[in-house]
Amino acid sequence: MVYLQLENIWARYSRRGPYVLKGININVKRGEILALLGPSGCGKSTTLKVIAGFVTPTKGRVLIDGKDVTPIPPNRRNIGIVFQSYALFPHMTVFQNVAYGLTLRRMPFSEIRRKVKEVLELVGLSGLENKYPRELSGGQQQRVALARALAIEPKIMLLDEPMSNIDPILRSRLRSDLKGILKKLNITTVYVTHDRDDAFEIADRIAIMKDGVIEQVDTPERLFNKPKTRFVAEFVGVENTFKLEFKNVEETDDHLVVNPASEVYIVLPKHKLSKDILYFGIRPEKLIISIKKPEKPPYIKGRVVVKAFKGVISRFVVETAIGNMVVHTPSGIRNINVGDVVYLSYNIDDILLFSR
Amino acid sequence: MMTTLGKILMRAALIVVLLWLLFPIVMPLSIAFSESEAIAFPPKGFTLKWFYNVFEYESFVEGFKLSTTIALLASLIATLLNVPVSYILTRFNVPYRKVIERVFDLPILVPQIVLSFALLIFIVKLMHITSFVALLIGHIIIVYPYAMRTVYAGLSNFNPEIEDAAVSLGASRLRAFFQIVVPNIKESVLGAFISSFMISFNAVAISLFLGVGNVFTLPVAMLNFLVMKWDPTISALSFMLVIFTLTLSYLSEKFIGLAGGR
Repeated sequence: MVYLQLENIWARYSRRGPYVLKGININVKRGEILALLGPSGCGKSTTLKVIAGFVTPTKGRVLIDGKDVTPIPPNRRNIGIVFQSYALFPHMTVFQNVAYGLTLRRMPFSEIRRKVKEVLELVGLSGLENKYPRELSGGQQQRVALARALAIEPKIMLLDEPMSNIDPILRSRLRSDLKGILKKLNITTVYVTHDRDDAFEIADRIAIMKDGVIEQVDTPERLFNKPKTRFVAEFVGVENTFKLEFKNVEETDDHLVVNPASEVYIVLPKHKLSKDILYFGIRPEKLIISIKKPEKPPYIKGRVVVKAFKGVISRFVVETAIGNMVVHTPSGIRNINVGDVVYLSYNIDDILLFSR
Repeated sequence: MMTTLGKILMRAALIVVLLWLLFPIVMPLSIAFSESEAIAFPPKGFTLKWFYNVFEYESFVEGFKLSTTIALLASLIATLLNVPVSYILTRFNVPYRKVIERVFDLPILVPQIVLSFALLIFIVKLMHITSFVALLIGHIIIVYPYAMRTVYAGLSNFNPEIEDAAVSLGASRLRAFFQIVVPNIKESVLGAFISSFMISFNAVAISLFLGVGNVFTLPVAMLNFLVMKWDPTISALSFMLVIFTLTLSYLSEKFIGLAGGR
């Protein structure tokens, strides 16, 4: 059941300025966590501000539970926000911060105390009620911000890059904690991030944004396995994407063998091909690197320019006639080194094709 | 690596510069305690009679009252006007913001004597406002840019997301301003008030030009006194003013320091 709906949202910051959002359509189901993933400047934070009511769209509607909230000001939308800077009130204690929204709702003090205690327990901050924000660690501040937003029992939760100020080692744990809390409360959430790991670990579905447009909305699994555009593919880790040059094409029963340069053979499965295909891509971990020339295509000849040990995997950069290709292999390959001539082969089903 | 001789020379230079700065201030002040009727150095003996004299001289007492009143009112009005103006300039997408900021700085950049003359023409001659009110308007204009610098800095350092957070929790913009913004910029507002007070209290040119009639601020009264008399009363008054100003500047630094250290 759709709970939050953005209908063809157009927005810009000044009357003659360029559009930052160009027809955004998003549906978020009740209790679902949707991540908005994209590079900086793609419009994901603006989308969040439109949902919160801080930016009024020039065109389009925001619906919550079927009701048009576009004309409602931000202080009457009952939406919880966790800001990138956490935006805690510096002159108030943790208790006062969390109680602020409840005080505004004229809740009796005994009830406020009960509610604050409840949300602080939920985020694991009991006992810090009388601390000031500056006395807390980054992770604790993030939890206060979360508790403050949860206290008002918001209809929707918005999180703007909440992990960007957190130590990378802590991030993974905080992500699972956060997801646990949001799921326990079954709260509809929009989570803005530029970090792929963030989006993949937290979200039920991910919307990938670029230049004010949504490129693809899908579950993490589907985004990973079936990216629809070259941009999405690059964002989900398909490091090798190239423009297809249909030169020296040979057709077999179910394949197309393209041979754009000497000893470069790209084999495309016919059932995936359509007229508008312009790019192909392959994940670094799907490429097989070897010194021995394979007996038949597909293979691409190249020379190793970088070899880097990354722990479980090693990363090779191979210079080929169509450009540099990245290969991830399990670590332990000792007989291939920088300068060696190698052949990259792959399983034909692992090739990804894009029209843009 | 610096040689021992180098270090000694550096220290000697430092001491000479310090004395150079301090001596011309300390020397005349020491005369305040001199028993001699003339302003002469070195002071002879020790007395506090010149200090009593200051309070006996009506122009000084009245001048101090007027200067304090003008300075309090001018700083209060300038600071209060400043908060909403700076708020609008820092929070909203104001067209030509840079130009507007420069205009607000003009009273600092234009020589005070020129500004005073301009205000004389405008306020007294064209608008026919005289004495106290004219003086007050002039002082507000003089101190406004100083107040603005501090308040503006305090507001620009305050993260606007904090205010948005209050709004998202249900506060109106107005309530968020008073409950969230104001408590967090009060140090800069207080600092702005104190520094404006000092600027206004010490301003001579503007008071000379606008103080037509019988209104003399303290600095003007002191100038008048020097024209007529030449005794250590002026030293005693100067001594007290130095203490007064030092106290204020200590307070203002304390508050501005607090505001900056956030």
